[in-house]
Amino acid sequence: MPLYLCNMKTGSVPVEAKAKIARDITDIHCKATDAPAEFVHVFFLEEAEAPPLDNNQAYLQGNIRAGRNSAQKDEIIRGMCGSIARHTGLGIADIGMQLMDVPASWVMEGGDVFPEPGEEAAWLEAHAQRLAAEAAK
Amino acid sequence: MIPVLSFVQEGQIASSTFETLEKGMADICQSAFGVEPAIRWVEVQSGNGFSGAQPSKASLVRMEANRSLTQEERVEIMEKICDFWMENTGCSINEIVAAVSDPLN
Repeated sequence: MPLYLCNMKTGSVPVEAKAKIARDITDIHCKATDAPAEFVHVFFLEEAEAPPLDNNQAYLQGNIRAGRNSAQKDEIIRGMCGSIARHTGLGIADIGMQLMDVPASWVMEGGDVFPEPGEEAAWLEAHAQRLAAEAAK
Repeated sequence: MIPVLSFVQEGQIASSTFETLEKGMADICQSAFGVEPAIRWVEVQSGNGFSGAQPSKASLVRMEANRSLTQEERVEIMEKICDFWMENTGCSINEIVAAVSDPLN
């Protein structure tokens, strides 16, 4: 978490653009939320069942931890849609985006329940210590 | 039925392993909820999955419970998913993300 799913019409996002967009999505999310980059997953899908493309050429659905404020969400949406437009040549009107709030307590990553927003540093430290202790057994 | 959405990276899981994973997910759902799962697989094609902006090896399993869960119950189910996934796919603990939600509708 977060998980960003970018559904797109076949051929609308060039192969070489995907790594650049994934980098931008990761950077934009981390800048807006202070979350560590390793938490950010970006998957590109072509004409998948979900998230729905509707009339868009590309549709980005972000499943993010609940607790982000409107300013953070605005920054994320503006930045990520801009990145997709810049790297694909699509118009902003051809790109849809939605953010879905997911309670942190519903997700386990690295074998630990996800931290609430703002508690990542302590979580990472405790997680690293737990893994080191298990490796030493 | 318990909706289960599983994202896996192309080539990360042997085709013969999918049946084992489905059986394991069915056991987990039966044990926790008393019903079978409805599993949907999404294989992320090579070059299309990124974690931390690097090529991804991550699997994500998202399960929707048929009742509200206590956090203790939820954690137990998520741990079972992670343990089962590692045991059968050979992935590391950092390559499996499990999410178990309360009913969404």
